[in-house]
Amino acid sequence: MILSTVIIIAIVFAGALIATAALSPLETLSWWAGWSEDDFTPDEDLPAPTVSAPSSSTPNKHYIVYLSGVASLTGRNLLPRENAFLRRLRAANANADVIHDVFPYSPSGTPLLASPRAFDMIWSGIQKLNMQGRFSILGVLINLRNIFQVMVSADHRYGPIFNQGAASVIRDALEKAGYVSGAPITIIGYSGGGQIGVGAAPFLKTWSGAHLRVISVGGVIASDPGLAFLDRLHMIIGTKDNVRRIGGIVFPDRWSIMGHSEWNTSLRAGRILYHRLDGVTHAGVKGYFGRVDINGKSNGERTLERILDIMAFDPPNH
Amino acid sequence: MIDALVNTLSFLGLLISLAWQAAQFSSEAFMQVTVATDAQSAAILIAFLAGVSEMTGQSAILIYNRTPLYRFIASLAYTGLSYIATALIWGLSAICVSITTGTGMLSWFEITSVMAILCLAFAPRLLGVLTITPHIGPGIANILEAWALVLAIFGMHVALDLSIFVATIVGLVGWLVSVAMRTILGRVLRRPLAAMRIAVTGSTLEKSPQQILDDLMLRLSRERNA
Repeated sequence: MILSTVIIIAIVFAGALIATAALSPLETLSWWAGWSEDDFTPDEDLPAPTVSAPSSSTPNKHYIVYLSGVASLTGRNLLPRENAFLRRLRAANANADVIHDVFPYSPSGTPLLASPRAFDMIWSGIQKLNMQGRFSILGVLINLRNIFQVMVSADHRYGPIFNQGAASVIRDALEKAGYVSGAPITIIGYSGGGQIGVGAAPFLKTWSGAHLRVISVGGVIASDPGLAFLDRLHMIIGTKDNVRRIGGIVFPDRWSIMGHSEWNTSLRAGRILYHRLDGVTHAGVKGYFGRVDINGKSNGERTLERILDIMAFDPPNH
Repeated sequence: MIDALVNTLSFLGLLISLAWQAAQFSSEAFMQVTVATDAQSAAILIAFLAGVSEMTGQSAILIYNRTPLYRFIASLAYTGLSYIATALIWGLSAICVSITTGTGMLSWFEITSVMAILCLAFAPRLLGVLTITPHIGPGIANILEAWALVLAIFGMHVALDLSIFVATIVGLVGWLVSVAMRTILGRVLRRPLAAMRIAVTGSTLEKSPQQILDDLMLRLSRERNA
């Protein structure tokens, strides 16, 4: 009796999960078809940036775009530990513009908090619970919703369309920050943000013509065509992060036997570099942005130091 | 009026019941479609709906090409009808294989039964809409296709009293012949088929996601170089 109940619940759960996954490309498809409320004119999209001489007051200006993980609801309201990390990143990069108000899990960049009014209270409530660090089933739903969007980005059928939308959102944020054509761009993508950053690379590279690299922090990344457009993909991986391992398992094109895949070609070409962080998990206090001191230093500080090392030893202008 | 409603509902009930049973390898369901005309009609409708479901799952290509809604619906119907045509070609191929090899006991008079069995074997493909799922969608499509093929062999085995070996040979070879025929016919009739596709969808459906990406990047490169 108990076993049959458990089986029925498991079947219902699996069915709901597949149904939700099946619905996940609809946002991208309706956005492309122009069925959603967001204006979209693909023929006029992604105009090349205005080419102007770099300002003498800001030599070697560098733009850093931070894409949050799958737990995010909006690019504006990040978790306190992410905000602390970004504050330190800004302080350490006086010559760079750090842009974080990008919601990468929607082709139109529309945050979940900007959804129809009926859902506002739900998402706001979930965000409060997240901020308080309290587990909730709705919090899991946010993660699932955004994970499915990562799958859309990685899917060869929907990826080009979704990623073009994500690139437009990043481009808009760059232009708002006064982006000058040719200035190097670094995308720091946490978790699923890494995949979105790589997926957006072809459009951003062609649009900007600039040095473009992605620093993935615990990223779950597919063998995406965007890899060929990156100057470098730096993979920061925690040795206790089991989530980032998923990418190497669920994306068959990353398996070593698929020698001609974009991933393995990029690995051989030296465009993908791994950087290990000992004892770091995917999220939480022992995660990449953890603020609790462990052996005299927080994981957030360790992650920042590693990113600064990468920027110092792999300068964007070289 | 009420009678018509009752008849329609009972037909839909029969359709759902047949599809559910067939997907679970019920021999009764397959035997029923060889003898009862209403069950045969339900089986044909199952094949049609399976085509509609699968096309819905693959509708991204229609949306990328910005197909208008009425043409979108026409494309679904077109795919549904193509599924019935596939069952017919498959059935004819299976009988042809059976007669020419002498391995089976099928005759041309059994085309209705064979076709009804094959139509019913498309029942798992009613879930074809799930192929829209990102990343795992193509895998789901392969599973559904294999499931339908095994069901067709099982159906011919239990409903036409063929041995498993003969049903497998007839089913598999018939399937291969139907695939080959569709490929050959597709090439021979390339122009009229393309014209029909344009008539239904309003476009040649030439734009794949990769081509959209390539077009955009080419335009951006030109803008940058201008």
